[in-house]
Amino acid sequence: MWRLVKADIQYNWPIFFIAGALALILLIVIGIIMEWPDQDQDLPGTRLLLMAIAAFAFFVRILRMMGEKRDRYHTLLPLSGTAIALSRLVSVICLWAACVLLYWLTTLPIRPYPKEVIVFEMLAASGFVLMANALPYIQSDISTHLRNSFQRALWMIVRTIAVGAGMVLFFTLNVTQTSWRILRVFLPLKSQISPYLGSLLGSGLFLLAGIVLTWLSVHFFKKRKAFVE
Amino acid sequence: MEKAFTYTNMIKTFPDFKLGPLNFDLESGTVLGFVGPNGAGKTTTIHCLVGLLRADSGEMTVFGRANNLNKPEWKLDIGYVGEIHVFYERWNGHQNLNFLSQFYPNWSKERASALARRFNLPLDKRAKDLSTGNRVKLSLVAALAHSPRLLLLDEPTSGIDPVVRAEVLDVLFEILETGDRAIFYATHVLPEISRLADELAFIDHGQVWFRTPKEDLTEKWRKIYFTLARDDVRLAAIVHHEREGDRHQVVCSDCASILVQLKELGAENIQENPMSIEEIAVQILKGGRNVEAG
Repeated sequence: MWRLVKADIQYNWPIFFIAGALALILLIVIGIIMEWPDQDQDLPGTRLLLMAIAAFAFFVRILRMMGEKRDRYHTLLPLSGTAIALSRLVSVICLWAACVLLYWLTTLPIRPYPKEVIVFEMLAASGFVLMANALPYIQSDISTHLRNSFQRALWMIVRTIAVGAGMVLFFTLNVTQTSWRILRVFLPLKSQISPYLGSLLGSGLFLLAGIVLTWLSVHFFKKRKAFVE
Repeated sequence: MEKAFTYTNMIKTFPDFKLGPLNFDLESGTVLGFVGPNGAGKTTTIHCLVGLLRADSGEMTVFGRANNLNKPEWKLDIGYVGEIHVFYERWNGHQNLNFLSQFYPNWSKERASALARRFNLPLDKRAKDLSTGNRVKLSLVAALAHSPRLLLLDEPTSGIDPVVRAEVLDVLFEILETGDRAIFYATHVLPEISRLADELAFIDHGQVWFRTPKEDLTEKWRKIYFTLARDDVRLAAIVHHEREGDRHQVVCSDCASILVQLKELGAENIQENPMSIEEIAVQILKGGRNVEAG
């Protein structure tokens, strides 16, 4: 599996490099400058990081799926289905882990003992990244089971509704709480759900959902009807 | 003798096509040409064996090992070249071959380089910048560099012009003739494989319904002309029969038996013409299941 992950990172290094650099800038700008004087307020830095990485993960996944027939290539190699399925997910998880580590390292001099709420926000963010990483694969794996145009049309509708609902949830949780607040616009707009992200229960649920979707992504890959794409 | 692969009751269905049930195998060291028209099921047969498609039922083995997605050792023995040549497109030939070399213990860099030289393949070019012919060559180098015991070739030269095709096939056959490996070569262009094949299997409408050693085709199949003034001409082993008055023309799959029958019937002016492999293939594919009956 690690040979595939290494190849994935080597092959996509410009994207990873840009994403890493952007994440670092976000960390420095937001993690230190904005969160430091505003520690008792909301935590826009963590949220922005989450948004950037989750969007990146989703973007990379979509790009990867649209471009080359990587699953076909890898399926022909003498590797297990589990290894191939995991290799699709691990590079973005590694990037995310590196970002989290950088975040802690960057903020360590300011907050040697991070507040609980930040830890929970990070866990929730990790859940988001896992979800954004796995979902495009799950939908493509499921689509190999569709046998006719009616099923494909139905699946497209379900997929569109799911993506729409996901975006609404994402914006509800984040945009009203982060970007706008950072810009000091729409301050009164406050999501009713977002405080749960900073709790053990809420963040735990998000992380669990991310892990479940990651597992499902591996499961659906192994159950695919075809690997020709 | 060891079986390079086996298909046992393998079935794969699509909304408008059913492949199988397939029951056939290939002995180690044998070259089997897999011939059939477009849409007959050749590619699906190979895709199921290499794991690109999941069969609905049945079993397949490669050198005795089941083609299980989670126990991938069976793939070590396979070299596969299909109609679509997949690479890391922004990597050059060297990078793609280096990537593949990590997964095959038998991979030989020297062999890969030698093959690339034989094919006159520019390994320093990015995959996406290679011509179709060179992509085929890169696929062949990738498939052969780990010296697989089973080589699966699925119309590898489709889409390339006749000159490059001839060049690729010349080098490929030169390489293959010297090795001791099982080769399964699917094509609808019979001349491509007739030089190399020990046996030929014919597939149509998802069924392998005729398989024969190549020599049997050239030795036994004939086009026979004769004169016979009878209405009830019934001959066994006939694939095709045309009649114009008393003059008959038949294509038969067992010439000796037909000649005996014709003498018994009192046929005259018997003229026996040999057939090329290509002509025979056309007759088989046109004649459908009658050939089996014959």
